[in-house]
Amino acid sequence: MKKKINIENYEAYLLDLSEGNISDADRAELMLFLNEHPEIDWDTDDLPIIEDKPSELNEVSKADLFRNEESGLSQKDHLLISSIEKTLDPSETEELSKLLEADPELLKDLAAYQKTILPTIEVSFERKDELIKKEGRVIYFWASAASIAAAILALFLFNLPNEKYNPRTKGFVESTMADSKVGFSFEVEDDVNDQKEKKIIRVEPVEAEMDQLAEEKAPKTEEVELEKPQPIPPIEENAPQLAEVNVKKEGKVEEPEASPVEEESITVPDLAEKNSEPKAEAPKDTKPNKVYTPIEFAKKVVKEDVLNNKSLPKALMDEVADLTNDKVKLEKEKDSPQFALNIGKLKINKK
Amino acid sequence: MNTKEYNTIVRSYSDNVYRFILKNIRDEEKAQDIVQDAFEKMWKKVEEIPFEKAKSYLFTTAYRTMIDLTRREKKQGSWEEITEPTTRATQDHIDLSEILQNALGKLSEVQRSVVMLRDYEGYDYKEIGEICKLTESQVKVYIFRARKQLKEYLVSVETVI
Repeated sequence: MKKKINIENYEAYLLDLSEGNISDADRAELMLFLNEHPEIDWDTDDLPIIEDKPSELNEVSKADLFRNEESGLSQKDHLLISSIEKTLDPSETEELSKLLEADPELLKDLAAYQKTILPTIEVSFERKDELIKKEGRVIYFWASAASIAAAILALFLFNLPNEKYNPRTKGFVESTMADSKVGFSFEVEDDVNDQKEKKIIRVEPVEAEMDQLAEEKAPKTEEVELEKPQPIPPIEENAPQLAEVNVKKEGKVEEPEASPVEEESITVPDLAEKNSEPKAEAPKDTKPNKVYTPIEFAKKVVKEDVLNNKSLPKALMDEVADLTNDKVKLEKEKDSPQFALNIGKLKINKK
Repeated sequence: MNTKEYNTIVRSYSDNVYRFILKNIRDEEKAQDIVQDAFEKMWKKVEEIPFEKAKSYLFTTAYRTMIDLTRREKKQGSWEEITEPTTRATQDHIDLSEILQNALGKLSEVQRSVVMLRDYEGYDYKEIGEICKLTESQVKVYIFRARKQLKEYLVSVETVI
Protein backbone atom coordinates (compact mmCIF):
# COMPACT_ATOMS: atom_id res chain seq x y z
CA MET A 1 0.00 0.00 0.00
CA LYS A 2 1.29 3.44 -0.85
CA LYS A 3 2.13 5.42 2.23
CA LYS A 4 0.23 8.59 2.82
CA ILE A 5 3.12 10.48 4.42
CA ASN A 6 6.28 10.95 2.41
CA ILE A 7 9.25 13.24 2.13
CA GLU A 8 7.17 15.69 0.12
CA ASN A 9 4.39 16.23 2.59
CA TYR A 10 5.63 15.24 6.04
CA GLU A 11 6.04 18.88 7.09
CA ALA A 12 2.35 19.48 6.72
CA TYR A 13 1.69 16.59 9.06
CA LEU A 14 4.32 17.87 11.46
CA LEU A 15 2.48 21.16 11.51
CA ASP A 16 -0.80 19.41 12.17
CA LEU A 17 0.88 17.47 14.92
CA SER A 18 2.24 20.61 16.54
CA GLU A 19 -1.22 22.13 16.43
CA GLY A 20 -2.74 19.03 17.91
CA ASN A 21 -4.83 18.71 14.81
CA ILE A 22 -3.91 15.25 13.61
CA SER A 23 -5.74 11.95 13.71
CA ASP A 24 -4.36 9.00 15.62
CA ALA A 25 -3.78 7.07 12.45
CA ASP A 26 -1.89 9.93 10.80
CA ARG A 27 0.12 10.53 13.92
CA ALA A 28 1.06 6.85 14.01
CA GLU A 29 2.10 6.92 10.39
CA LEU A 30 4.04 10.13 10.90
CA MET A 31 5.91 8.58 13.79
CA LEU A 32 6.79 5.60 11.67
CA PHE A 33 7.94 7.90 8.91
CA LEU A 34 10.12 9.95 11.25
CA ASN A 35 11.64 6.81 12.68
CA GLU A 36 12.53 5.71 9.18
CA HIS A 37 14.07 9.11 8.46
CA PRO A 38 16.37 9.98 11.34
CA GLU A 39 18.00 12.63 9.16
CA ILE A 40 14.92 14.78 9.54
CA ASP A 41 15.51 17.28 12.25
CA TRP A 42 12.31 18.05 14.05
CA ASP A 43 11.85 19.79 17.31
CA THR A 44 10.12 17.82 20.02
CA ASP A 45 9.48 21.04 21.89
CA ASP A 46 6.89 21.86 19.29
CA LEU A 47 5.03 18.71 20.11
CA PRO A 48 3.55 19.06 23.56
CA ILE A 49 0.56 17.03 22.48
CA ILE A 50 2.59 13.93 21.97
CA GLU A 51 3.57 13.89 25.58
CA ASP A 52 -0.06 14.15 26.56
CA LYS A 53 -1.03 11.20 24.47
CA PRO A 54 -0.58 7.62 25.52
CA SER A 55 2.58 6.01 24.30
CA GLU A 56 0.68 3.21 22.54
CA LEU A 57 -1.60 3.41 19.54
CA ASN A 58 -5.26 3.10 20.29
CA GLU A 59 -7.35 0.23 18.99
CA VAL A 60 -8.78 2.13 16.05
CA SER A 61 -5.33 3.16 14.79
CA LYS A 62 -4.14 -0.39 15.09
CA ALA A 63 -7.19 -1.68 13.30
CA ASP A 64 -6.42 0.75 10.50
CA LEU A 65 -2.89 -0.58 10.24
CA PHE A 66 -3.55 -4.30 10.44
CA ARG A 67 -4.43 -6.05 7.26
CA ASN A 68 -7.07 -8.71 7.20
CA GLU A 69 -5.69 -11.96 5.89
CA GLU A 70 -8.84 -12.84 4.01
CA SER A 71 -9.65 -9.65 2.15
CA GLY A 72 -6.32 -7.85 2.27
CA LEU A 73 -8.15 -4.71 3.42
CA SER A 74 -7.36 -2.93 6.67
CA GLN A 75 -8.94 -4.71 9.60
CA LYS A 76 -11.10 -1.66 10.24
CA ASP A 77 -12.52 -1.66 6.72
CA HIS A 78 -12.89 -5.40 6.76
CA LEU A 79 -14.97 -5.24 9.90
CA LEU A 80 -17.11 -2.40 8.63
CA ILE A 81 -17.79 -4.14 5.34
CA SER A 82 -18.45 -7.43 7.12
CA SER A 83 -20.99 -5.57 9.17
CA ILE A 84 -22.99 -4.40 6.17
CA GLU A 85 -22.51 -7.76 4.48
CA LYS A 86 -23.84 -9.39 7.65
CA THR A 87 -20.95 -11.81 7.78
CA LEU A 88 -19.49 -10.82 11.14
CA ASP A 89 -18.73 -13.72 13.44
CA PRO A 90 -19.09 -13.22 17.21
CA SER A 91 -15.46 -12.29 17.79
CA GLU A 92 -15.56 -9.78 14.93
CA THR A 93 -18.78 -8.33 16.25
CA GLU A 94 -17.13 -7.76 19.59
CA GLU A 95 -14.06 -6.27 17.95
CA LEU A 96 -16.15 -3.86 15.91
CA SER A 97 -18.18 -2.83 18.95
CA LYS A 98 -14.98 -1.92 20.77
CA LEU A 99 -13.74 0.10 17.82
CA LEU A 100 -17.00 1.99 17.51
CA GLU A 101 -16.93 2.68 21.21
CA ALA A 102 -13.37 3.93 21.03
CA ASP A 103 -14.01 6.11 18.02
CA PRO A 104 -17.61 7.08 17.28
CA GLU A 105 -16.37 8.74 14.10
CA LEU A 106 -16.26 5.26 12.63
CA LEU A 107 -20.04 5.39 12.42
CA LYS A 108 -19.61 7.79 9.52
CA ASP A 109 -17.52 5.22 7.71
CA LEU A 110 -20.11 2.59 8.49
CA ALA A 111 -22.84 4.82 7.06
CA ALA A 112 -20.76 5.40 3.93
CA TYR A 113 -20.35 1.66 3.46
CA GLN A 114 -24.05 1.20 3.98
CA LYS A 115 -24.65 3.45 0.98
CA THR A 116 -22.67 1.09 -1.27
CA ILE A 117 -25.52 -1.42 -1.14
CA LEU A 118 -27.24 -1.03 -4.48
CA PRO A 119 -30.84 0.09 -4.13
CA THR A 120 -33.43 -1.98 -5.95
CA ILE A 121 -34.12 -0.71 -9.43
CA GLU A 122 -37.21 -1.94 -11.25
CA VAL A 123 -36.42 -2.91 -14.80
CA SER A 124 -38.95 -4.56 -17.07
CA PHE A 125 -38.07 -7.00 -19.81
CA GLU A 126 -40.36 -6.07 -22.67
CA ARG A 127 -40.02 -9.27 -24.66
CA LYS A 128 -41.28 -11.48 -21.85
CA ASP A 129 -44.37 -12.61 -23.76
CA GLU A 130 -42.19 -14.01 -26.52
CA LEU A 131 -40.61 -16.37 -24.04
CA ILE A 132 -43.82 -17.85 -22.66
CA LYS A 133 -44.52 -21.36 -23.97
CA LYS A 134 -47.91 -22.93 -24.32
CA GLU A 135 -48.85 -25.36 -21.60
CA GLY A 136 -50.66 -28.74 -21.63
CA ARG A 137 -54.18 -29.58 -22.77
CA VAL A 138 -56.88 -32.30 -23.18
CA ILE A 139 -60.24 -33.35 -24.93
CA TYR A 140 -63.06 -33.11 -27.49
CA PHE A 141 -63.89 -31.16 -30.50
CA TRP A 142 -66.14 -31.47 -33.46
CA ALA A 143 -65.49 -33.45 -36.53
CA SER A 144 -64.48 -30.90 -39.11
CA ALA A 145 -62.01 -29.19 -36.83
CA ALA A 146 -60.58 -32.45 -35.65
CA SER A 147 -60.24 -33.69 -39.20
CA ILE A 148 -58.40 -30.59 -40.27
CA ALA A 149 -56.14 -30.74 -37.27
CA ALA A 150 -55.52 -34.42 -37.80
CA ALA A 151 -54.77 -33.86 -41.47
CA ILE A 152 -52.39 -31.07 -40.65
CA LEU A 153 -50.76 -33.15 -37.99
CA ALA A 154 -50.39 -36.09 -40.32
CA LEU A 155 -49.04 -33.93 -43.12
CA PHE A 156 -46.44 -32.48 -40.90
CA LEU A 157 -45.51 -35.75 -39.42
CA PHE A 158 -44.94 -37.17 -42.90
CA ASN A 159 -43.15 -34.14 -44.23
CA LEU A 160 -40.98 -33.38 -41.26
CA PRO A 161 -40.18 -36.84 -39.98
CA ASN A 162 -36.85 -36.13 -38.39
CA GLU A 163 -37.43 -32.71 -37.01
CA LYS A 164 -38.03 -31.91 -33.44
CA TYR A 165 -40.94 -29.74 -34.39
CA ASN A 166 -42.98 -29.45 -31.26
CA PRO A 167 -42.02 -28.56 -27.74
CA ARG A 168 -44.19 -31.43 -26.59
CA THR A 169 -42.74 -33.86 -29.08
CA LYS A 170 -39.70 -35.67 -27.95
CA GLY A 171 -38.87 -37.13 -31.34
CA PHE A 172 -39.93 -40.03 -33.43
CA VAL A 173 -39.16 -43.58 -32.57
CA GLU A 174 -36.29 -44.43 -34.87
CA SER A 175 -36.86 -48.13 -35.16
CA THR A 176 -40.36 -47.59 -36.36
CA MET A 177 -39.38 -44.76 -38.66
CA ALA A 178 -36.94 -47.04 -40.42
CA ASP A 179 -39.84 -48.90 -41.97
CA SER A 180 -42.11 -46.39 -43.60
CA LYS A 181 -44.62 -49.09 -44.56
CA VAL A 182 -45.59 -49.73 -41.03
CA GLY A 183 -46.26 -46.11 -40.26
CA PHE A 184 -44.48 -44.32 -37.51
CA SER A 185 -44.58 -43.38 -33.90
CA PHE A 186 -43.82 -40.25 -32.03
CA GLU A 187 -43.60 -39.40 -28.42
CA VAL A 188 -45.58 -36.59 -26.94
CA GLU A 189 -45.68 -35.08 -23.55
CA ASP A 190 -48.82 -33.66 -22.09
CA ASP A 191 -49.63 -32.08 -18.79
CA VAL A 192 -52.32 -34.06 -17.05
CA ASN A 193 -53.38 -32.68 -13.71
CA ASP A 194 -50.13 -30.71 -13.59
CA GLN A 195 -48.08 -33.84 -14.07
CA LYS A 196 -46.09 -34.63 -17.13
CA GLU A 197 -47.33 -37.63 -19.01
CA LYS A 198 -45.36 -39.11 -21.87
CA LYS A 199 -47.11 -41.04 -24.59
CA ILE A 200 -45.86 -42.86 -27.60
CA ILE A 201 -48.33 -42.11 -30.34
CA ARG A 202 -48.28 -44.63 -33.13
CA VAL A 203 -49.71 -43.74 -36.52
CA GLU A 204 -50.20 -46.66 -38.84
CA PRO A 205 -50.56 -46.61 -42.63
CA VAL A 206 -53.66 -45.30 -44.22
CA GLU A 207 -56.22 -46.69 -46.59
CA ALA A 208 -55.59 -49.96 -48.39
CA GLU A 209 -52.45 -50.98 -46.61
CA MET A 210 -54.12 -50.61 -43.30
CA ASP A 211 -56.35 -53.64 -43.25
CA GLN A 212 -53.67 -55.87 -44.67
CA LEU A 213 -51.06 -54.73 -42.22
CA ALA A 214 -53.50 -54.89 -39.37
CA GLU A 215 -54.18 -58.51 -40.19
CA GLU A 216 -50.49 -59.28 -40.46
CA LYS A 217 -49.63 -57.59 -37.27
CA ALA A 218 -52.54 -58.52 -35.11
CA PRO A 219 -51.55 -62.09 -34.25
CA LYS A 220 -47.83 -61.29 -33.92
CA THR A 221 -47.98 -58.42 -31.54
CA GLU A 222 -49.57 -57.80 -28.23
CA GLU A 223 -50.73 -54.42 -29.25
CA VAL A 224 -53.28 -52.92 -26.97
CA GLU A 225 -56.76 -53.22 -28.33
CA LEU A 226 -58.00 -49.96 -29.66
CA GLU A 227 -60.50 -48.09 -27.67
CA LYS A 228 -63.30 -46.87 -29.81
CA PRO A 229 -62.95 -43.19 -30.59
CA GLN A 230 -65.44 -40.87 -29.02
CA PRO A 231 -68.55 -40.29 -31.14
CA ILE A 232 -67.96 -37.26 -33.25
CA PRO A 233 -70.65 -34.62 -33.39
CA PRO A 234 -72.11 -33.66 -36.77
CA ILE A 235 -69.98 -31.72 -39.19
CA GLU A 236 -70.71 -28.08 -39.60
CA GLU A 237 -72.64 -27.21 -42.69
CA ASN A 238 -69.93 -25.01 -44.07
CA ALA A 239 -67.04 -26.99 -42.72
CA PRO A 240 -64.21 -27.43 -45.19
CA GLN A 241 -63.79 -30.88 -46.65
CA LEU A 242 -60.49 -32.63 -46.92
CA ALA A 243 -60.99 -34.12 -50.33
CA GLU A 244 -58.45 -31.85 -52.00
CA VAL A 245 -55.20 -31.25 -50.30
CA ASN A 246 -52.34 -29.74 -52.19
CA VAL A 247 -49.09 -29.26 -50.43
CA LYS A 248 -46.56 -26.80 -51.75
CA LYS A 249 -43.22 -26.85 -50.06
CA GLU A 250 -40.33 -24.77 -51.33
CA GLY A 251 -41.86 -24.63 -54.75
CA LYS A 252 -42.27 -28.37 -55.05
CA VAL A 253 -45.82 -29.62 -55.29
CA GLU A 254 -46.48 -32.85 -53.53
CA GLU A 255 -49.60 -34.96 -53.57
CA PRO A 256 -49.55 -36.84 -50.34
CA GLU A 257 -51.42 -40.07 -50.64
CA ALA A 258 -52.63 -39.77 -47.14
CA SER A 259 -54.21 -36.41 -47.63
CA PRO A 260 -57.66 -37.13 -46.27
CA VAL A 261 -56.96 -38.75 -42.98
CA GLU A 262 -59.85 -41.04 -42.43
CA GLU A 263 -60.62 -41.89 -38.91
CA GLU A 264 -61.33 -45.49 -39.81
CA SER A 265 -58.08 -45.91 -41.70
CA ILE A 266 -55.71 -44.93 -38.95
CA THR A 267 -55.19 -46.51 -35.62
CA VAL A 268 -52.99 -44.97 -33.09
CA PRO A 269 -52.50 -47.23 -30.14
CA ASP A 270 -50.72 -45.87 -27.16
CA LEU A 271 -47.47 -47.78 -26.81
CA ALA A 272 -46.33 -45.93 -23.76
CA GLU A 273 -46.84 -48.97 -21.63
CA LYS A 274 -44.61 -51.05 -23.86
CA ASN A 275 -41.92 -48.60 -24.73
CA SER A 276 -41.24 -46.75 -21.57
CA GLU A 277 -40.51 -47.32 -17.94
CA PRO A 278 -43.55 -47.74 -15.77
CA LYS A 279 -44.46 -44.50 -14.14
CA ALA A 280 -44.57 -44.60 -10.39
CA GLU A 281 -46.65 -41.49 -10.12
CA ALA A 282 -49.14 -41.94 -12.92
CA PRO A 283 -52.19 -39.78 -12.46
CA LYS A 284 -55.10 -41.79 -11.14
CA ASP A 285 -57.57 -40.60 -13.71
CA THR A 286 -55.52 -41.50 -16.76
CA LYS A 287 -56.24 -44.71 -18.59
CA PRO A 288 -53.08 -46.75 -18.96
CA ASN A 289 -54.25 -48.33 -22.21
CA LYS A 290 -55.73 -45.25 -23.72
CA VAL A 291 -55.63 -45.33 -27.49
CA TYR A 292 -55.39 -42.18 -29.53
CA THR A 293 -56.31 -41.68 -33.10
CA PRO A 294 -54.79 -38.61 -34.71
CA ILE A 295 -58.21 -37.06 -34.51
CA GLU A 296 -58.39 -37.68 -30.81
CA PHE A 297 -54.95 -36.30 -30.46
CA ALA A 298 -55.97 -33.24 -32.41
CA LYS A 299 -58.94 -32.87 -30.12
CA LYS A 300 -56.68 -32.99 -27.14
CA VAL A 301 -54.33 -30.33 -28.35
CA VAL A 302 -56.94 -27.79 -29.43
CA LYS A 303 -59.41 -28.33 -26.64
CA GLU A 304 -57.87 -26.03 -24.12
CA ASP A 305 -57.74 -23.17 -26.57
CA VAL A 306 -61.37 -23.55 -27.44
CA LEU A 307 -62.29 -23.78 -23.79
CA ASN A 308 -60.45 -20.52 -23.39
CA ASN A 309 -62.88 -18.95 -25.85
CA LYS A 310 -60.54 -18.93 -28.79
CA SER A 311 -62.17 -19.24 -32.15
CA LEU A 312 -61.69 -22.51 -33.99
CA PRO A 313 -59.48 -21.10 -36.76
CA LYS A 314 -57.39 -19.21 -34.22
CA ALA A 315 -57.03 -22.29 -32.02
CA LEU A 316 -56.02 -24.40 -34.99
CA MET A 317 -53.55 -21.84 -36.27
CA ASP A 318 -52.00 -21.50 -32.83
CA GLU A 319 -51.66 -25.24 -32.51
CA VAL A 320 -50.08 -25.63 -35.90
CA ALA A 321 -47.75 -22.73 -35.18
CA ASP A 322 -46.82 -24.47 -31.95
CA LEU A 323 -46.29 -27.75 -33.74
CA THR A 324 -44.13 -26.35 -36.46
CA ASN A 325 -42.49 -23.37 -34.78
CA ASP A 326 -43.45 -21.48 -37.88
CA LYS A 327 -45.75 -18.62 -38.82
CA VAL A 328 -49.29 -19.68 -39.65
CA LYS A 329 -51.81 -17.72 -41.64
CA LEU A 330 -55.27 -18.62 -42.82
CA GLU A 331 -56.45 -16.98 -46.04
CA LYS A 332 -59.89 -17.22 -47.57
CA GLU A 333 -60.74 -16.12 -51.05
CA LYS A 334 -63.76 -13.91 -51.50
CA ASP A 335 -66.86 -15.57 -52.88
CA SER A 336 -65.09 -18.89 -53.05
CA PRO A 337 -65.09 -21.99 -50.89
CA GLN A 338 -61.31 -22.19 -51.29
CA PHE A 339 -59.05 -21.23 -48.47
CA ALA A 340 -55.35 -21.60 -47.93
CA LEU A 341 -53.46 -22.42 -44.81
CA ASN A 342 -49.93 -21.03 -44.96
CA ILE A 343 -47.47 -22.58 -42.59
CA GLY A 344 -44.09 -21.04 -43.14
CA LYS A 345 -43.27 -21.92 -46.73
CA LEU A 346 -45.86 -24.64 -46.81
CA LYS A 347 -49.27 -23.96 -48.29
CA ILE A 348 -52.33 -26.15 -47.97
CA ASN A 349 -55.32 -25.41 -50.18
CA LYS A 350 -58.73 -26.72 -49.26
CA LYS A 351 -62.28 -26.32 -50.32
CA MET B 1 -38.95 -28.78 -15.02
CA ASN B 2 -42.12 -28.77 -17.11
CA THR B 3 -43.52 -26.10 -19.38
CA LYS B 4 -45.60 -24.58 -16.64
CA GLU B 5 -42.58 -24.26 -14.39
CA TYR B 6 -40.54 -22.86 -17.24
CA ASN B 7 -43.18 -20.18 -17.75
CA THR B 8 -43.10 -19.43 -14.05
CA ILE B 9 -39.38 -18.82 -14.34
CA VAL B 10 -39.98 -16.49 -17.28
CA ARG B 11 -42.55 -14.51 -15.34
CA SER B 12 -40.54 -14.41 -12.14
CA TYR B 13 -37.00 -13.82 -13.31
CA SER B 14 -36.84 -12.38 -16.81
CA ASP B 15 -36.91 -8.85 -15.38
CA ASN B 16 -34.19 -9.70 -12.87
CA VAL B 17 -31.83 -11.26 -15.33
CA TYR B 18 -32.45 -8.42 -17.76
CA ARG B 19 -31.62 -5.86 -15.07
CA PHE B 20 -28.46 -7.77 -14.21
CA ILE B 21 -27.25 -7.80 -17.80
CA LEU B 22 -28.45 -4.30 -18.65
CA LYS B 23 -26.70 -2.72 -15.67
CA ASN B 24 -23.56 -4.55 -16.66
CA ILE B 25 -23.35 -3.71 -20.32
CA ARG B 26 -25.61 -0.66 -20.53
CA ASP B 27 -26.96 -1.61 -23.91
CA GLU B 28 -30.67 -2.40 -24.02
CA GLU B 29 -30.66 -4.24 -27.31
CA LYS B 30 -27.71 -6.44 -26.47
CA ALA B 31 -29.10 -7.07 -23.01
CA GLN B 32 -32.42 -8.20 -24.48
CA ASP B 33 -30.66 -10.50 -26.91
CA ILE B 34 -28.62 -12.04 -24.13
CA VAL B 35 -31.70 -12.64 -22.02
CA GLN B 36 -33.55 -14.14 -24.96
CA ASP B 37 -30.58 -16.35 -25.70
CA ALA B 38 -30.33 -17.49 -22.07
CA PHE B 39 -33.99 -18.50 -22.02
CA GLU B 40 -33.61 -20.32 -25.34
CA LYS B 41 -30.74 -22.30 -23.90
CA MET B 42 -32.76 -23.08 -20.80
CA TRP B 43 -35.72 -24.21 -22.88
CA LYS B 44 -33.54 -26.63 -24.82
CA LYS B 45 -32.56 -28.28 -21.55
CA VAL B 46 -35.85 -27.72 -19.79
CA GLU B 47 -36.28 -31.36 -18.84
CA GLU B 48 -32.81 -31.67 -17.38
CA ILE B 49 -32.99 -28.59 -15.19
CA PRO B 50 -34.72 -28.96 -11.83
CA PHE B 51 -37.12 -26.13 -11.10
CA GLU B 52 -35.25 -25.09 -7.97
CA LYS B 53 -32.03 -24.70 -9.94
CA ALA B 54 -33.59 -22.82 -12.81
CA LYS B 55 -32.89 -19.30 -11.58
CA SER B 56 -29.26 -20.08 -10.96
CA TYR B 57 -28.99 -21.76 -14.37
CA LEU B 58 -30.55 -18.73 -16.00
CA PHE B 59 -28.17 -16.24 -14.40
CA THR B 60 -25.17 -18.47 -15.06
CA THR B 61 -26.07 -18.79 -18.72
CA ALA B 62 -26.79 -15.11 -19.14
CA TYR B 63 -23.59 -14.14 -17.33
CA ARG B 64 -21.43 -16.39 -19.47
CA THR B 65 -23.10 -15.26 -22.65
CA MET B 66 -22.46 -11.68 -21.61
CA ILE B 67 -18.80 -12.39 -20.85
CA ASP B 68 -18.36 -14.18 -24.18
CA LEU B 69 -20.00 -11.35 -26.01
CA THR B 70 -18.01 -8.60 -24.34
CA ARG B 71 -14.74 -10.45 -24.87
CA ARG B 72 -15.54 -11.09 -28.49
CA GLU B 73 -16.49 -7.49 -29.09
CA LYS B 74 -13.43 -6.22 -27.28
CA LYS B 75 -11.28 -8.39 -29.52
CA GLN B 76 -13.05 -7.02 -32.55
CA GLY B 77 -12.53 -3.53 -31.24
CA SER B 78 -16.17 -2.67 -31.47
CA TRP B 79 -16.88 -2.69 -27.79
CA GLU B 80 -17.99 0.68 -26.65
CA GLU B 81 -16.16 1.45 -23.49
CA ILE B 82 -18.38 2.41 -20.65
CA THR B 83 -18.22 6.14 -20.55
CA GLU B 84 -16.36 7.56 -17.62
CA PRO B 85 -18.75 8.73 -15.02
CA THR B 86 -18.88 12.43 -14.75
CA THR B 87 -18.97 13.98 -11.35
CA ARG B 88 -21.56 16.62 -11.72
CA ALA B 89 -20.50 18.64 -8.74
CA THR B 90 -22.24 21.72 -9.99
CA GLN B 91 -25.59 20.03 -9.91
CA ASP B 92 -27.57 20.80 -6.82
CA HIS B 93 -29.13 17.41 -6.47
CA ILE B 94 -27.21 14.32 -7.32
CA ASP B 95 -29.14 11.17 -6.92
CA LEU B 96 -27.34 8.55 -4.87
CA SER B 97 -28.53 5.85 -7.20
CA GLU B 98 -27.03 7.67 -10.15
CA ILE B 99 -23.73 8.16 -8.35
CA LEU B 100 -23.69 4.49 -7.52
CA GLN B 101 -24.34 3.58 -11.11
CA ASN B 102 -21.38 5.72 -12.09
CA ALA B 103 -19.29 4.14 -9.37
CA LEU B 104 -20.27 0.71 -10.63
CA GLY B 105 -18.90 1.69 -13.99
CA LYS B 106 -15.50 2.10 -12.41
CA LEU B 107 -15.44 -1.44 -11.12
CA SER B 108 -14.07 -4.36 -13.06
CA GLU B 109 -16.57 -6.58 -14.86
CA VAL B 110 -16.29 -9.32 -12.24
CA GLN B 111 -16.54 -6.93 -9.31
CA ARG B 112 -19.60 -5.30 -10.83
CA SER B 113 -21.28 -8.63 -11.46
CA VAL B 114 -20.69 -10.04 -8.00
CA VAL B 115 -21.96 -6.90 -6.31
CA MET B 116 -25.09 -6.84 -8.45
CA LEU B 117 -25.80 -10.50 -7.87
CA ARG B 118 -25.36 -9.88 -4.18
CA ASP B 119 -27.46 -6.74 -3.88
CA TYR B 120 -30.09 -7.17 -6.56
CA GLU B 121 -30.63 -10.90 -6.30
CA GLY B 122 -29.58 -11.58 -2.72
CA TYR B 123 -27.36 -14.49 -3.66
CA ASP B 124 -24.86 -15.76 -1.10
CA TYR B 125 -21.16 -16.05 -1.88
CA LYS B 126 -21.40 -19.71 -2.81
CA GLU B 127 -24.22 -19.15 -5.30
CA ILE B 128 -22.42 -16.20 -6.85
CA GLY B 129 -19.33 -18.37 -7.13
CA GLU B 130 -21.31 -20.98 -9.06
CA ILE B 131 -22.62 -18.38 -11.45
CA CYS B 132 -19.30 -16.61 -12.00
CA LYS B 133 -17.07 -19.67 -11.73
CA LEU B 134 -15.26 -18.37 -8.65
CA THR B 135 -14.54 -19.83 -5.26
CA GLU B 136 -16.52 -18.60 -2.31
CA SER B 137 -13.51 -16.77 -0.87
CA GLN B 138 -12.73 -15.15 -4.22
CA VAL B 139 -16.27 -13.85 -4.33
CA LYS B 140 -15.91 -12.43 -0.85
CA VAL B 141 -12.67 -10.67 -1.72
CA TYR B 142 -14.16 -9.23 -4.91
CA ILE B 143 -17.19 -7.97 -3.04
CA PHE B 144 -15.19 -6.47 -0.17
CA ARG B 145 -12.81 -4.67 -2.49
CA ALA B 146 -15.66 -3.48 -4.65
CA ARG B 147 -17.40 -2.04 -1.57
CA LYS B 148 -14.20 -0.27 -0.58
CA GLN B 149 -13.91 1.25 -4.05
CA LEU B 150 -17.57 2.24 -4.12
CA LYS B 151 -17.30 3.85 -0.72
CA GLU B 152 -14.22 5.84 -1.68
CA TYR B 153 -15.98 7.01 -4.80
CA LEU B 154 -19.07 8.07 -2.86
CA VAL B 155 -17.00 9.90 -0.26
CA SER B 156 -14.96 11.66 -2.93
CA VAL B 157 -18.10 12.80 -4.75
CA GLU B 158 -19.67 14.00 -1.51
CA THR B 159 -16.48 15.86 -0.69
CA VAL B 160 -16.51 17.60 -4.07
CA ILE B 161 -20.16 18.49 -3.64
